[in-house]
Amino acid sequence: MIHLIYSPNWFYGKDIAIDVVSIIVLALIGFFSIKYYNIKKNKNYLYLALSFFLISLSFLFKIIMNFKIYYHEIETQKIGFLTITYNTIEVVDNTFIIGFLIYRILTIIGFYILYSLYQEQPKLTHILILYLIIVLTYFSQSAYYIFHLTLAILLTLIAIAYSKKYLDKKNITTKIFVVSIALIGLSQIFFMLVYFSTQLYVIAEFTQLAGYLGVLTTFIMVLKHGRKKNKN
Amino acid sequence: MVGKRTKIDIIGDMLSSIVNKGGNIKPTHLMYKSNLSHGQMQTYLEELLTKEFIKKVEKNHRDYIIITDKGYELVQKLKEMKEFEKTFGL
Repeated sequence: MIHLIYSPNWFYGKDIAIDVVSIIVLALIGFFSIKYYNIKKNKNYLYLALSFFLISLSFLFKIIMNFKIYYHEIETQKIGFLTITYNTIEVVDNTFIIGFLIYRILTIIGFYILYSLYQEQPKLTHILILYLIIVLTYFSQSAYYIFHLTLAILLTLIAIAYSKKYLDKKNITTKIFVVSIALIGLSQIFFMLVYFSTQLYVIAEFTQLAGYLGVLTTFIMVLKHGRKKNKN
Repeated sequence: MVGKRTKIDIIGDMLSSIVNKGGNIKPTHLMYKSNLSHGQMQTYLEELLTKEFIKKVEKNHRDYIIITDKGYELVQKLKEMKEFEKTFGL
């Protein structure tokens, strides 16, 4: 049976709030990216929006699944009959498996698109990578850490790619973006280790929150840059 | 190597040149500052006038081009976009 809950009891629901913040940040940037695309018609804006919308959508799946799990967990604790509990969880397992599968696939594809924006790939490579992502995610359902390991590697590669860009242009917003991506990557390491302690799940969620707040800071700085020194 | 400027890049350069000159500029100065030929500039000027990003005024028997609030907003948006592109590597 697949282990679904890693959060300590007192943290139930709080992780959902953290994921909602991530959704808002990602959707906001995605929305602005589409707006900019309409002005400049540069396809990269569309790819960035697609990347952020996919990750945002993946969080939505995660929230729905977590909400269901917590609801069932609380209900189960109230009932207290082992047989009934077992049957309930078994029935909903398929929904959870599909839900988490979609969450994982969308997350990895979203971050892969972000990576491809910097490291341009041939079209055939995209097909191969897409296939590998689906296969890897499907066959690693019971080994949750494979998903987090994959994300940690992907996020490290994105951070390296963008840090090269920072070293080239010394742009402060790029620097904050690199740190944010590195934090989100670090959170994946903590997620990988939750098997050893549920407290690590809390640390992972807060590290992830710090990462997405960093992305939000980057975006606010970009907007501020446009507003300064305009009118004389 | 710098790539070919797109239409929106040229419009951005023209509006920024006006802003850098305090919001108003002589047409000939605008042509030099924006690196455009006379023909190209007339085409872009017409479009900017139609879309109300700029206005033509006469001061001391000389033509001047002034930027409108709508034009300032576009300059702001384009600066935002440039920073956005730099940050996210687009």
